[in-house]
Amino acid sequence: MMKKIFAITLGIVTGIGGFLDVGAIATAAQAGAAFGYQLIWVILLGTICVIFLVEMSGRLAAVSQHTLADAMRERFGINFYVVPFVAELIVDTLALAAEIGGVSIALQLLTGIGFQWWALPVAFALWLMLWKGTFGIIENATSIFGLITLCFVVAVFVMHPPWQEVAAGALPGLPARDKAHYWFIAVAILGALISPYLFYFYSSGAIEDKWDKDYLGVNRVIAALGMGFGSFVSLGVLIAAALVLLPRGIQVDNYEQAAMMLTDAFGYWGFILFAVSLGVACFGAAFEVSLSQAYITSQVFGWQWSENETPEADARFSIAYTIFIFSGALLIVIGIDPLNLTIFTMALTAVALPLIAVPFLILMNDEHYLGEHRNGFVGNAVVIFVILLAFVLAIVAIPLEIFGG
Amino acid sequence: MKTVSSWTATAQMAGEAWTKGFVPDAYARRTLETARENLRETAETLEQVKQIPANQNLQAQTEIGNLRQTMNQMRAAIESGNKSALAQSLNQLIMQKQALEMSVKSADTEQ
Repeated sequence: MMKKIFAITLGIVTGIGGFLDVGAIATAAQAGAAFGYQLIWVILLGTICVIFLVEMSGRLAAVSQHTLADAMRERFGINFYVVPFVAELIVDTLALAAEIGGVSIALQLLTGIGFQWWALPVAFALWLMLWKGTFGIIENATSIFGLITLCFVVAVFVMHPPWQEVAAGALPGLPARDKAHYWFIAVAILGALISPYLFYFYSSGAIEDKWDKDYLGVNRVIAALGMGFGSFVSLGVLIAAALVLLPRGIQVDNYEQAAMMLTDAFGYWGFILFAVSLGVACFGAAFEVSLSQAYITSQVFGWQWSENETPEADARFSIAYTIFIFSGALLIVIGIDPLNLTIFTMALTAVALPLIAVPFLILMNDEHYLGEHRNGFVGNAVVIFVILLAFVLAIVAIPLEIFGG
Repeated sequence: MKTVSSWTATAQMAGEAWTKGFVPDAYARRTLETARENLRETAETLEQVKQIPANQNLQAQTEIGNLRQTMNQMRAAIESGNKSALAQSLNQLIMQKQALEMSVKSADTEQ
């Protein structure tokens, strides 16, 4: 019993501390700075969808003792699975580069030294932690440090937003201007919240933590409360940007423009808290993305995999994350702008979502894997609706954003 | 012009935050440099837009040039730790920003 309470507490802490990543910060800041509270409904919609999907990936692991990648390969065969696998690897490599870019920007804010110079040291630190650490130690450490991101929520209460307007943002609406940009940011928010690496990582983590059917309740609580509380942090970023940047006419085209969003609430410490939150959140997410990539690759090729084993015991798994980490870092070293990379990666994720989510849903309705624990109508309907919405919006909004300048 | 306005507001906020001691010198300097660079890119883009009448384009180029110069003065003030010089430059930046907004409004009315 105590073990389960501990697992739930840790899971919720992980959800809050590990929820925010570079995509969530960038998209929420852009949304708040450009459209005030009008895009709050997208965060809420994305959060509901991610709660369902995370719960499903944990349930799949606990009931079938298969990770998501493992079950997909087995159920659909490698000839089919190679398509979502390659799509996931491309999106994850870009996402990993964006996360490393986020940590590098945080270090640039704190030291004044250009972000490109930090990419390789950050990649090395990340690699060293994975090489030397175990799954539990790294996951819990990054999540507990990640609680610092709650400063965005505290800042909102310090700055006293107009709560009625904030609440009105929970209902979908159209802006009077810049409609194409509005929908593009909406797509990027959905892509940032419903990141497929999260499901691969979560199901692999459940297997690493040896979950079985007894953990179904724990899984449900962690998915709902962890992701639910975590999305409050995203909302905090959006509301803080709406309160501080929008009235001054500052759009977030660069992380430097977002860096002052907490100074109204906390003065000098607001600047430090922003930089540290960005760094910690992105470092934690970089750890999850790189592990997720190594998990998927190892599970697809049938290699030995576990972050709890020594690198000698699962050499190919360790080599996989090593290659992915340094490939991601190189994109930042060559000078790709981390914010632009983040926003387009998130939009691209929304395009790729059906490739990953549709086979996932078919799997979640398969009696052979889930038995009596397979999906119900509500879970299927919510996920199909949000994924299709994100996909259609992405197909329409991305060309408009690019060609509309 | 939205980009110009956004970067000018960023420079203003960075300058004000530095005066209050809310941001480090390095951040304020880099932000002003990035703002200047973005303004330069915008001016280059504007130069190539044929739809804007030549006189309006020239006026926009002049105003952006003035903003860049003021941002450079702000950067120098921060480098030398001179808060009163920065305050003067900040006032100038605010006036230039208002002038730019007026020009954009009158150009919109003419069209």
